[in-house]
Amino acid sequence: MSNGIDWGLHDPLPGDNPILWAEPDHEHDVMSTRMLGFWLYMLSDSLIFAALFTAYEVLSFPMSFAGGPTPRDVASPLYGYAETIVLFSSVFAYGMVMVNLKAERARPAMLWLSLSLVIGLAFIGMEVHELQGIAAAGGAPQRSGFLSIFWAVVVVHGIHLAVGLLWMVVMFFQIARDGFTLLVTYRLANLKVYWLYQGLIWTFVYTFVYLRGSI
Amino acid sequence: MINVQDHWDWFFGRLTLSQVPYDNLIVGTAFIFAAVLGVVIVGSLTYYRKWGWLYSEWLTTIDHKRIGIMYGIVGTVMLFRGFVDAIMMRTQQVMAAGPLSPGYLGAEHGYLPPYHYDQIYGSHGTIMLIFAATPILAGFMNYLVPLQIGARDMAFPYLNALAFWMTAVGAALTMVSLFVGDFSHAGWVGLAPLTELPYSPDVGVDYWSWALQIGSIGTTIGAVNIIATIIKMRAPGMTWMRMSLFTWTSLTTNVIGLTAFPVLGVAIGLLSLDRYLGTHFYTTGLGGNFMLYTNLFWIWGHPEVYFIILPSWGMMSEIIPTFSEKKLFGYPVMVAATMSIGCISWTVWLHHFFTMGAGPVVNAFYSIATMLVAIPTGVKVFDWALTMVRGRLTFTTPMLWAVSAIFMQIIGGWTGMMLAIPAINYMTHNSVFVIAHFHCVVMVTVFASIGGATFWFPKMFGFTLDERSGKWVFWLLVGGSFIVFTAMFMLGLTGMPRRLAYVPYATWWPLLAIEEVGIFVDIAALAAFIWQITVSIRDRNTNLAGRDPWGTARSLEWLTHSPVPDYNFAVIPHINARDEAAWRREHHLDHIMPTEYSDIELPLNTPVPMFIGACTAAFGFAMIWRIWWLAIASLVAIFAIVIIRSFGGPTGTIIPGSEVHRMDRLAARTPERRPDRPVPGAITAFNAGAAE
Amino acid sequence: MSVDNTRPSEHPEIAFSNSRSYLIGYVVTVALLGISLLLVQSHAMSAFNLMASISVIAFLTTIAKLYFLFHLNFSEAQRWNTLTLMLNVPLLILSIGLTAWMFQTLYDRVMMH
Repeated sequence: MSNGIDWGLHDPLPGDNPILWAEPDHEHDVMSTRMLGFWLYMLSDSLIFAALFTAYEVLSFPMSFAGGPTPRDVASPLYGYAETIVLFSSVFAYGMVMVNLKAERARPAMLWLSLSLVIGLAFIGMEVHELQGIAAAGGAPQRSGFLSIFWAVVVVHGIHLAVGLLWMVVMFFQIARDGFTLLVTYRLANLKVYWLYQGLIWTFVYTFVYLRGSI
Repeated sequence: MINVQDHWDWFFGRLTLSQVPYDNLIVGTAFIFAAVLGVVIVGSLTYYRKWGWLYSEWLTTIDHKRIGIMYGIVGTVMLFRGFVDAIMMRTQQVMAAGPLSPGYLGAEHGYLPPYHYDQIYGSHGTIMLIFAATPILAGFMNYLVPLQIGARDMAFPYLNALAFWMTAVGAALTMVSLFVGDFSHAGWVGLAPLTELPYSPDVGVDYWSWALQIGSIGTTIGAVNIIATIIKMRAPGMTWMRMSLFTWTSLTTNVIGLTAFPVLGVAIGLLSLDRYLGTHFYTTGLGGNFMLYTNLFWIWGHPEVYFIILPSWGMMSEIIPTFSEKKLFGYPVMVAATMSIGCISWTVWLHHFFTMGAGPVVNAFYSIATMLVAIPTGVKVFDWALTMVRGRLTFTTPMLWAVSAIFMQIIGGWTGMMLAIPAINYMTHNSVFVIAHFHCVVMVTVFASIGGATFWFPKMFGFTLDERSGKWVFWLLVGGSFIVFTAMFMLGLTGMPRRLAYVPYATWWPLLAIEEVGIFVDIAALAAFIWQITVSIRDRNTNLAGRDPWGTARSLEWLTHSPVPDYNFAVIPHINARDEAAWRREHHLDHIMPTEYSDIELPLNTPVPMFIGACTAAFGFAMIWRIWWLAIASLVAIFAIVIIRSFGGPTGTIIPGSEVHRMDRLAARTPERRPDRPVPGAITAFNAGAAE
Repeated sequence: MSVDNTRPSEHPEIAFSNSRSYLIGYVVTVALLGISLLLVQSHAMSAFNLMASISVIAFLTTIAKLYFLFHLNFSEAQRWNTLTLMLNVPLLILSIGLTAWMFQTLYDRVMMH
C-alpha cells in the first residue's frame, strides 16, 4: 500500500494482469505459529492464576481466618525467598539449555536440562516440606477459607511445575533420540516459555502471599 | 477426602442400581425414545455397512470442515433436548398455577415434583448455552474461518479434533445424567452454598461441574486454534482490513473465550474442592465466602454471553450484504465496534448481581459500563440497516432470519439497558423479565444460526435447502418466540420470579397459557424443520449447488467448489479486495482457473483425539461417582497417550499437483453436468447425484 | 509469509538466546526480590507504603524477566507474543482490582465487623 494503513475503503481496480493466485512455494512459518499458539495458551493459564489471586484477595479478609492461622503464621518470607532462589536457578539452568540449542550442542543441552530438572525437583521438595509443616501445625486446607485458598494457590503452582518437569523428562528423551529437529526445537522453545512463566507467576505468589502476609 | 452420606465402595464409588430412575415415567419415556433412536442409528450403520466410513471419514478426521459439521450435529442434538426441557417447563408452569391446580404423577401441582423441575431448568440452561449454542457457533467458526482467510486448515488440526471431542464428552456426560443419577438442581449458574455438599448431597452438581469443566477445556483449546489461525495463516493479500466481518467476530469471540473460560474453571474447580476435599472456599462456615462464587462465576459469565452473540452478529454481517447486493456499510467502524464490545464485555459482570449488596458507587460504575456497550451495539444495528438502504433486497430464507434477528436484537438490547439500571434491576432481579430479556438476545443467536445454516448449507453439502418449507419454519419460530416472550415480559413486570415449579397466583395463569400457545407454535416450527430437512434430502439431486448458489455471494469462501474439497482451495488465492468473490464477479474474473498446480500436503487422520476423549469421559464419570481407581487410571492413560503420541512426529499425505489439477477441473463443471465421480474428499452428503 | 527452510536453530525465537542476558536476568530478579524481603523484614515503612513498594518491585521484576529472559519486544518475530502477554495486564487489573473494590464495599455493608 502507498502510505499508512490500508483501511480498505476503496476496492482496487484489477489492472491489466491481476494476481489471482498465490505463488506456489508460499508456506507458513511453523515455528512462529506454534510459539504464538503456546503464548496464547499461557494467556489462558495466567487467567487461572488471576482467578486464584482474585479469590485470595477475597479470602484474606480476617473473617476468613475463622480464628485459625493467619498469613503471617503460614507463609515465611525467608523460606519463600530460599524457594525463590532455587526456582530462579532452575530457570537460569533452562536458559542455558536454550543457549546450547542455538549452538546445536546436544549433550551440553541435555546436561543443563537435567540440572534444571533436578533443581526444579528440589523446589517441589521444599514446598512439600513446607506444606507438611503447615498441616502438622493445624494449618490444613480444611481449617479455614483463608487456608483453602493459600493451599490452592501454592499447590496449583506446584502442579504446573510438576507438569513442566514431566515435560522436561520427555524432551530429554526426544533430544537423545532425534536431535534438534524442527519439532524438538519448538517444543524446547515452548517449554522455555512455560518454565519461565512459572517463575513469573512465582514472583507474584511470593510478593502477594508470602511478603504481603508479613507486612 | 470427604465421606459422603450415602453408599460408597471402592469399586463402584457412589454408583448403585438405585441411581437409575427406573420408576420415573418421564425419564422412562425419554429412555425409550433414546433407545429407539440408538437402535435405528446403529442398525442403519450396520445395515448399510457404514462403520468403516464413520471411523475413517468422521471419527478420526482432523479436517476443520468435518469437525465443524460434527460440532453442528452435537449442538443440534443437544438443542433438541434443551427444547424438550423448555416444553416441559412451560407445561408444568401452566398446569401448576394457583393452589387449586391439580397434581399428577406424584407431584402436588402440575406433573413435575419440584426436585425434578429444578433439574430440568438446570439442564435446560446448561445444555442450551454450553452444549447447543457454543458447539453450533464453534462449528460455524471452524468451518468458515480457514475458508474466509484462504487457508488450507486451522493452525493446529490435531488440537482442533481434540477440542471437539472434549465438547462431545461434556455433552455426553449431560446426557448420561438423565439415566444414571440426577442432574444439578441448582440451576445452570450453580450458586453457592446451594451447590455445596450439605445442600446438594447427590451427584447432580458433580455432573454439572464436570460437564462444564471438560467442555471448557474444549472451548479454550479451540480458542487458541482460531486466534493463531487468523493471525498467522491468512492468504497473501489478505490484510487485516480485508478480512470478512465473520472472521473479525470470530477473532474477538475467541479472545474472550481464551481469557474468560479459565476463570470458570477456577470457580467450579474451587467448588469441586469444597465438595471433594472439604475445603472452605464457598461454605457458610469456617471462613468461606459464597459471594466469591457469584463473583468468579460472573467474571466468566458475562464474557460468555458475548462469546455467544458475537459470531451471530458476524453471520448477520455476512448475510445482509449478500442479499442487499451491497457491501457492508461502515466496515472499519463495524470492526472497531466488535473489538470494543469485546473489551467492554470484560468490565461489566457485576450487573448480574446488583442486588448482592455492593455500594451505590460500585453499582453505578458497572451500570454505566453496561450501558456503554449499547453504543457499539447500536452502531452495528444502524450499519446493518444502512447496508440495506438503497440495496437490491432479496428476501430469501437466510435474509429473513438475519433481518428478524435485528428486531430481536433491538428488543433484547433495550430490555438489557433497562436491566442495567440498578433501580430497575432491584425490582426485576430474579424475575422472568430477566429470562425474557436474555432469551430475546439468545434468539438473535438462534435466528442468526439458522440463517447461517441455511446460507452456508449449499456450500457445505452441495445442494440447497428447500426454500418453501424453510419459510414455514421461519414464520412459525419467529411467531412462537414473540408470543412466548412478550407474555413473559409482562409476567416479569407483574412480579413473577424465575425458577418456579409451583406458581402461587392463579391470576398469572392467562399469561402462562399464552406462553404455552407460543411454545406449541415453536413445536410446529420444529416439525416444519424436520419436514424441510426431509424434503431437501429427498430432492437433493435437483437442487445441486455450484460455487455461488445464491448468485450474489461476497466473501472468499464462495470461491471454493460446493461441497468444499478436502484441500479447500486447489491453489491458494491472492486477495485483491475485501469481499473477494464479489470483486472477482464484478470484474469478470470469477471463472478464471489457476494455470499452475503444485503438490498439496494434507495431515493424516488420527484416532488419538477420540481415544483421549474416551479416557476423558471415563475420568469425568469416575470423578462424578467417586470411583477413584478409574479416575486415576484414566488420567494416567491420558498423559500416556499424549506423551507417546508426541514421539510420533508429524504425518501427512501429499497430493501431487497433477491430481489436484484433475480434481479441480472435475469439480468446476457446473452442477447441471454432474461429475461422473464425486469430488474426492469432499463432503458429498449421501453422494448427491453421483455414481459410485 | 516466507518460505520456511531455515535450520530450526536459526529461527529468530531461538537466535535470541544468549547466556549474558540470562545471567543478568537471574541476578537482577533475585536481587530485586531480596530488596522486597529486606524491606518487609525490617518493617522499614508504614503498611501501605510497604505494600506499594513491594508491588512496584514485583512489577519491575516482571519487566526484567520479560526483557532479559523472554526477549519480548515488538520485532516481527516477537510482536504477537508480546501483545498476547500485554493482554494480561488489563485483564488482571480488571478482575483482581475491581473485585477488591467490590468486596471492600460489600464487606462494609453486609458482614459483621
